[in-house]
Amino acid sequence: MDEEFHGRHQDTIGQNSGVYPRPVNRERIKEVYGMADIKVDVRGETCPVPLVETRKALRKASPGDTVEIVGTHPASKKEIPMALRALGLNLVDIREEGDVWKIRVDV
Amino acid sequence: MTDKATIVVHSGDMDKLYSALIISTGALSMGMEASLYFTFWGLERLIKGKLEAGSLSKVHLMGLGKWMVRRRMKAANVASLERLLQDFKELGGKIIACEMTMQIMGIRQEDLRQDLIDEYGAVGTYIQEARESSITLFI
Repeated sequence: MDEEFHGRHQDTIGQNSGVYPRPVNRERIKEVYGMADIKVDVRGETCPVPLVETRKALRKASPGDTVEIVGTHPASKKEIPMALRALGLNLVDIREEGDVWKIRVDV
Repeated sequence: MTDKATIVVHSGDMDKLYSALIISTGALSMGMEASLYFTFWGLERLIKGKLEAGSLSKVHLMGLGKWMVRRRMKAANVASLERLLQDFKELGGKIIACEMTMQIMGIRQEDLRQDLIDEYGAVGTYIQEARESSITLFI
């Protein structure tokens, strides 16, 4: 797994995981309970479809929505986060299982 | 300067049209604006029913090469040119048709896919688009 993404993933999980009371973390709750407001399934799609479908979904999303993108195209796993950064959006999580990756982003 | 990509689509070759559409939809997907200026053989692809009619820029082999490439593209699940064009429009891309090409080639507005075209223009329109673009390409 990519180190950068792995680090990000660990940060989210490990955050405030002690006995201290912690503030309600919306992203964390959504992540744990697997809630996404919009799901984009681009498994089996190739360039540029994963990127384009992500953008289409983000345009339709309302502020506060979480969008989840599931795909298999290897380059998109790093290019979708690049696009999210360019759009000023908050990447929540990236996971990978075998050939399938899953990206979650807050709008 | 706007975060914008402006591409002159001069070639009507299938593979080059793919390049133009993939780059421009990619730019839109990454938050840029994008304009496509269709001229010469590129504009022919906007004639109704001609979108997929372009040959391959290399090893066309009287259509055999194109057939083989299309078969491989289908196996790789590559999006059709029509789908890419629809995505381009849905993401706010702008299409400009070259008026001079229309005159030279005897193409009338009603021959073209008017549903896709935002503007009919000449070199001044391209320059206005390009001068405010951080990316401009001639394909």
